[in-house]
Amino acid sequence: MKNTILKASGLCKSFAHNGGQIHVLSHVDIEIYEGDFTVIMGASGSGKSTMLYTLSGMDRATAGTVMYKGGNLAAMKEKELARLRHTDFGFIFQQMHLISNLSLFENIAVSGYLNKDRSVSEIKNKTKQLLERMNISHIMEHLPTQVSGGEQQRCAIARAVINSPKLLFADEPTGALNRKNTTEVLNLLTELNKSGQSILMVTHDIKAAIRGTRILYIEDGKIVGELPLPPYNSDEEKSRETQVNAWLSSMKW
Amino acid sequence: MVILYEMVGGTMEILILLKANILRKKGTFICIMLLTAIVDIVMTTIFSVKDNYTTAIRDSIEYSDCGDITVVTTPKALTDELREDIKKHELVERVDYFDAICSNGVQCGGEFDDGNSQFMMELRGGIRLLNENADGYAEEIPKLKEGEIYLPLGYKSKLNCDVGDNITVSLIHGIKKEFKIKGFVEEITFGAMNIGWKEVFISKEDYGRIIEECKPFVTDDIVLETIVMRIHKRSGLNLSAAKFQRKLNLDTGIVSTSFGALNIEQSVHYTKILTDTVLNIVLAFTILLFFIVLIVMSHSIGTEIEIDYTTLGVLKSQGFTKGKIRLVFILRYVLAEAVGIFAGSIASIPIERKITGVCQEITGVLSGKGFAIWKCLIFASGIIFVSAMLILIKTIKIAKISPVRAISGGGEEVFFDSRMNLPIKKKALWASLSLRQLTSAKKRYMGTIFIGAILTFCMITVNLTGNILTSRNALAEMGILTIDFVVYYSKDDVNIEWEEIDRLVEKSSQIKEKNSSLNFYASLNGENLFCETYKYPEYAHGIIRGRAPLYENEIMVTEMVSDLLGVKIGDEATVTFKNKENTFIISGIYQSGYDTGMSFYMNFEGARKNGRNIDNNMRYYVLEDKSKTDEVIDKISEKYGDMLSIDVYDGSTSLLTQYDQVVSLLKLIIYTFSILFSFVVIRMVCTKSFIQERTIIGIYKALGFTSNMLRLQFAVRFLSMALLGEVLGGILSILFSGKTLSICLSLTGITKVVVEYTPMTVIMPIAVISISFFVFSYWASRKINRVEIRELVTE
Repeated sequence: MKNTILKASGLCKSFAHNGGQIHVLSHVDIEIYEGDFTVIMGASGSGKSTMLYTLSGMDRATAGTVMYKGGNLAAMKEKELARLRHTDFGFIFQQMHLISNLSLFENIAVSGYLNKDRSVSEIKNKTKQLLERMNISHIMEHLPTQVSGGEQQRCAIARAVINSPKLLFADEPTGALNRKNTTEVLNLLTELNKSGQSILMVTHDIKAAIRGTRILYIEDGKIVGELPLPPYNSDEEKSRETQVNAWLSSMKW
Repeated sequence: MVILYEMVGGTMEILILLKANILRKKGTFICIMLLTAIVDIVMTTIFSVKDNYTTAIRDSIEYSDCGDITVVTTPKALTDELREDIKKHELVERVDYFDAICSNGVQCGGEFDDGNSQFMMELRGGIRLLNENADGYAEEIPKLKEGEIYLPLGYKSKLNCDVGDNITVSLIHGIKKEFKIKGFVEEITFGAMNIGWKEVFISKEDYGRIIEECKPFVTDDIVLETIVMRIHKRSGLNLSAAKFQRKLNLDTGIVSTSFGALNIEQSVHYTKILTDTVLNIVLAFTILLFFIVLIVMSHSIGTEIEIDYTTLGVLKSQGFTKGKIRLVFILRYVLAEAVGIFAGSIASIPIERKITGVCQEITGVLSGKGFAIWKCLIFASGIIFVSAMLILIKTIKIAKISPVRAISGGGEEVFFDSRMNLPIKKKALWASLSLRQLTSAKKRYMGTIFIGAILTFCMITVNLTGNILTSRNALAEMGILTIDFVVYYSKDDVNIEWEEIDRLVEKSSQIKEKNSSLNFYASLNGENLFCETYKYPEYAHGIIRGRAPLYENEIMVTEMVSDLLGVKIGDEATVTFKNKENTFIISGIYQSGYDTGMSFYMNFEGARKNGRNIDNNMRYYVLEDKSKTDEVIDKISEKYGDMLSIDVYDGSTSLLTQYDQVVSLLKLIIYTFSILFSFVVIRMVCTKSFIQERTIIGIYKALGFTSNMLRLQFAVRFLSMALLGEVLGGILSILFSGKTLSICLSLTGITKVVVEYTPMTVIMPIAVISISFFVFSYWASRKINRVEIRELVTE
């Protein structure tokens, strides 16, 4: 029996447009389990990124609840949400979004500094460990614009996990990367998940999706399918890809 | 030409683009409009007010037919021979003579004129009575009854009096007469608030009675009856009034033998001096404000090009040439300025009327309330031309935008193009991140730092102006005497030793300075100038070069007189007083507030040598401990009773107080405009920064920073800029405040301003600018609260 880490019920998200309303999420019920590598897939405009942002508390739901540790994210004040973001949640963006005037080291450490329970030396050591682990320690003094996209994304992952989040959100983390960098980033995420990190990732890339242990399919703002998978094993990549492709075809992907 | 061609060749698309840009960037449009409106309000007001009183002075000269030189002399000095010489002089067309009684001071309530002479005469032609509201002339001037007096308008503010009030006029031998103010008149020669002498008008009956009452006390040295001569130069003569006066004096000695003289150019100069000085200072400040507008505009355009890099690339890819895009920039900003100028001009009308009213009481001349339309149009054209040139220069980089590079995100590299390694600290994280934002985009904030520097410079400079008026040392170094009290012999037969009074004073406080003075007009190389004479020249103030005239054959002259007469230290100069001529050696150059610097200085021995009778019947005192003044005065009064009379200068009765009020008004104007400008500028810069940093703000929020922390980051960044600006402004002040004030105050005769810094001189501007920058930027960044992170991140 898996523990639920995040639970959304009746989740709706609408946007005003030309005097009317566009319903992006429509009464979504979803549970995210601890230790899972959950992947949300769907066509462009299906609402997958909106779901990710709403579940992470970065965007407010129009209706419904998002429960985390007994609290409803939709009802939390900004300060509580901010605290969650630097203690319990980590976030990886498609465009990396590193702070362009901070070095890679500083980009990671700044997130750590927000955590009041840890000392400066502890944060600096952890940052160095992560830089080693992400294989970017040799360029830690560089600015984001001075390194490659893959290196930037590895730095973004390190930044997202510096505070050992309970749940790591990733929005198309390989969307802006080439094949080599994509593999490197996905390997890192798989490695993190195997070490116990819960991940919720949005992607439309099958190579990324097969890293998950649970794939959800979203269409027109509703979850219409779910595919559970065993933990990723590189030896089974081909068969896993075939399985996911077949499932996606059944979802009219 | 290219731009004109573009305009003709593609009007519609330019208009569409212009309209879209104005609507999308309303904030920028409004800010530029507001800033220009503020500058225009001040400029338009100054131009109109100056034009109004200049025209009024010209009209008044014409109406009054006051002649080119006004000479005040005595019946004894004006011999028949002299009369004939003047009448027959080749340069003279005609001379008008008016009998007048010379009084020695006028008092109304607590305010009194500092012992200056009034010339009381019957109403003469060329005088206009102001109506009750002082906004027009009375149709006719009612004849004065006994006990009634008409005063020149300049007395209204100086004595703080109004129609119906009673005033007391001091005559010879301690005789005083009370009059009721019947009305205020416009008298152009001496009528301005800051001119010492005044013509006042009384009834024929009062005139006769005063003569009768005072005549028994007239001696050779005490003047009662005077003659005011108005000398007209021959029409068509191409000679300035000053040169006419000098030539006439050299030929006839009319000025040298007189009580004093004032030519019409001097009258106009003195009439306008105070208002001109104040308005020139505000004008200089406004020019700096216009520089700020240009800096803001330059910053705004630079930022817009960065923000809209992609859009500009797309426009280019759609066929818009760089000329068309630049034209849209020019039109948008110039249109904002034009609207600002229009709004400012409208808003200036009531302000101009109010200021004109204030100036009217200073100049003593009824001013119209016109609008200096041509000057304002020229000024507006100047603003627009300079701005258009700036925009043309600033938009040159549009030519470098490559559509392909822009569309593929090439514009991003303009952000954070440099970096200083200020460490990021866990403690006060938001502050160190804020500084990083600042140091990594230095160029972006340079303009704001300069704005802070200009505002600081202006504020410190106006504070220094205030300090000059309140600092005895500064005033003394500039040759302006601030005394605590003056003791006079009440009657002619009093014979108390001054040393005895000195000893009495010293029982309460050390005497910082004591001196006896006698000031009069005398000719120096033919030029009628104010002559300061002192018993103890060693106390002389304001010496710029050389030394005080310690010997009877020495004088000092001001820099202005030195330039006028072409004399320098060591040269000889001829002083003529009452036909007695002597040669003096110039021992020093000094500065003086008397007669706007048209003065010279000698000791009592020198004056005696030149035939001046020194009666030694007064002495002024400056105490080491000013707070002991009352105690000293009580002791003197107690011991000597009515043998001595004492005038106390407590700072509230002198002209300095009025100057102090003017400086307070200047402070108010400069501080208010500075705060207003800070607000508009910061709002504009913040909005641009916010747009540029939307993504970064979103990322920070996603990492767990609260809106409040991010707003504090914004505010601390602007506070840091303010502090840098303040340091720069302080340096500018040390380098230029003294020089700037010397230029601004040179009209008043002070050519070398001594500035005195106090902690408050610097603390006030720093506090005002720092608080303004911090509070306004915190307020302007409130948008961070309202925007969801996702909106920021995904843009």
